[in-house]
Amino acid sequence: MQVPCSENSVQRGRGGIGIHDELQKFLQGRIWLRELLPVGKEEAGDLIREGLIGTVPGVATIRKWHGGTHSRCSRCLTEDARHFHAFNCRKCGKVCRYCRHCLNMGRVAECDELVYWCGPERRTACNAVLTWEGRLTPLQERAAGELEESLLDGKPHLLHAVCGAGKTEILFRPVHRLLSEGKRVCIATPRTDVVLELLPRFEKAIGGTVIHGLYGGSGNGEGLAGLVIATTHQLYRFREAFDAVIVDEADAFPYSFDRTLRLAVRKALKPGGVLAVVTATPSPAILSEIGREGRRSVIPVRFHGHPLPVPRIVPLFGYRKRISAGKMPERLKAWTEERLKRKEPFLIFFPSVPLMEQCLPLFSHLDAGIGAVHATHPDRRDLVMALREGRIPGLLTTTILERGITIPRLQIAVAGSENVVFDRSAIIQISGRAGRSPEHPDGDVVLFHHGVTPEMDAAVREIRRLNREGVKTIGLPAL
Amino acid sequence: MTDRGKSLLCPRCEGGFVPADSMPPLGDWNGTPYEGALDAAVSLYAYNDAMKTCLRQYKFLKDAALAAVFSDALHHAEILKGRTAVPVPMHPVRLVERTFPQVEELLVQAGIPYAPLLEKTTALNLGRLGRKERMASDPLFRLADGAEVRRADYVLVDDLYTTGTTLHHAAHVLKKSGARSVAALTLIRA
Ligand SMILES: [Zn+2]
Ligand SMILES: [Zn+2]
Repeated sequence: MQVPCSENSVQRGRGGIGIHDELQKFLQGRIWLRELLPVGKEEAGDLIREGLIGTVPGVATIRKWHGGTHSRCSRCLTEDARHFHAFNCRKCGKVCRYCRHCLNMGRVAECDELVYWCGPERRTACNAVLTWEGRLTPLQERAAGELEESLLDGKPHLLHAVCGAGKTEILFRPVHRLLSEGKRVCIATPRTDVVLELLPRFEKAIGGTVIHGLYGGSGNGEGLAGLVIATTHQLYRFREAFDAVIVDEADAFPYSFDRTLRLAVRKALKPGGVLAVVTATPSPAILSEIGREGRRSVIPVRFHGHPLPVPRIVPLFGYRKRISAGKMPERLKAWTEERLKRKEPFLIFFPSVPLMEQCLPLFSHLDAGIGAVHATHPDRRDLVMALREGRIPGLLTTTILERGITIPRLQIAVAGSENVVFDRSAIIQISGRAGRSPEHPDGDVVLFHHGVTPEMDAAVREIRRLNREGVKTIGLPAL
Repeated sequence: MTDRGKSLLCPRCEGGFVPADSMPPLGDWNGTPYEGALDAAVSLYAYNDAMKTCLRQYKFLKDAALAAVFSDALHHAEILKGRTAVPVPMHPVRLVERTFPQVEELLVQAGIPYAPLLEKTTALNLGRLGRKERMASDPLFRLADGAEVRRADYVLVDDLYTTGTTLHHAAHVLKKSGARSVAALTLIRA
């Protein structure tokens, strides 16, 4: 039941065509609390009666085979009993359950209705133009071609590309191709930072199509978007929306841990829609997501062809004690002073906010400009910008900055790399922040530790392996 | 971090709560018809960021589960001892919107008995009015149907003390109806 491409279909109905039109553009592909519809709240009732809008109870009761029941949130699909709270509801007059798991998107209770568009589907316009004029390396070229082919054939695809391989550029052409066929595409990533970085790049690279960037605190976007760039979290609010979902940096926390986020990706795909995953460190969970029929492209080298920086492992025994005593561990101090002397921008990763905040005054002593950022830091973006523009010498950070940051000549240290938060994948990602520009393809990456962990070893081995593979690949004349 | 959302469980931001550093200034009401309506007033917490986040989640995201966060503090509140608690009510229209009575729920969760003696007369939101208008507005409360005020000591319970208009209006009604004394307990001094 699809309306032909690029023709604006007009909906029948009594209550004013304009509003129905607005409501469809908003609701098509979404699943939304009826109470919180931003447009056409009054008209929704008519459209429900006409069968153009479907409804489901916010919290469903699922019967189990052994006769028991449990709750499921119809938006985020959680079934974890700890996510539900029952209260004496004055709206429905009963004991009513609501979901706390997706509470921030507006509370969904048993007596609330979620609505979705189930009338004829409006196609997005097909006049997307690829305005990107950059050039792909032969390896990128091959991966882009393979990805495009998979997406058009409806086959799942894994793009395994090292940090700095130029993953975003690889996506431009395949995404443009899908858009120009009137398909709806979503690029989903676990991190808001990555959405904010990708959005302007896609807006610049692809014209003639509506692009939305969605994350916690963003608006809902105007009109019907061909391309949605969103946090995986935002996919809770979509239902059978996309012909293709491309999950970028897919193994990043929390995507790999949260089953409901994986279900959300599935729910956001149309029946027959296709999933692609782009990652630097594929985990077993991702490999199983792609499945056996999935195809795979590998890019073992960065776009400038230089090998990945291999982390140096440097002991920093007893650093916590020293820091608690208000003293800076010597080696870390020497490393920082060296960066300051050479005027090289640097990031120092910490396993926790309290440890980082304990350290900040010690660093301020070396240079008052050194800042610190963490997830809920209000000036986070400004500080990263200041580092990029050279207004401050360096930043202390939690793992929040491990992805999606590109600063030329960046030098990296991890303080306390034995901590569990620095697993193999995190260390590979962190190391990949260094040496990203062709002018400065290498950079120092140091893991300061209180004891070497298997994860640290595995990360170093994996980076060496990719570098060896990279040398071989570059040597191949066929490319 | 991700946009997984601010900590879902407010108990984690409980660490960020700080005790109120000043008590509600009842003297502001001297010279008005409400002078002396309240005999005492106590607030438990200051209105800092952690508290704002928590209250927002409780009231506007309607996270009823958070009522339990305050149970201990309410249990230890001296001002509740020997007095009958009277929650400041919501207008019935607001109540359906908010789906649960947010002040009453605090008492329910804490297992503190209370007497619902008052009824809100207007669905108007005081927050939209200026200070003067708030102080001078028409009566906001009346006695609930069948409510009986004894010659006893009462304590009104509310979430926020801002200008004190709500509490003075409520106290006035109780006093007029025969209450011996009326105190006020609010979670927060804004
Ligand atoms: Zn939910
Ligand atoms: Zn209900």
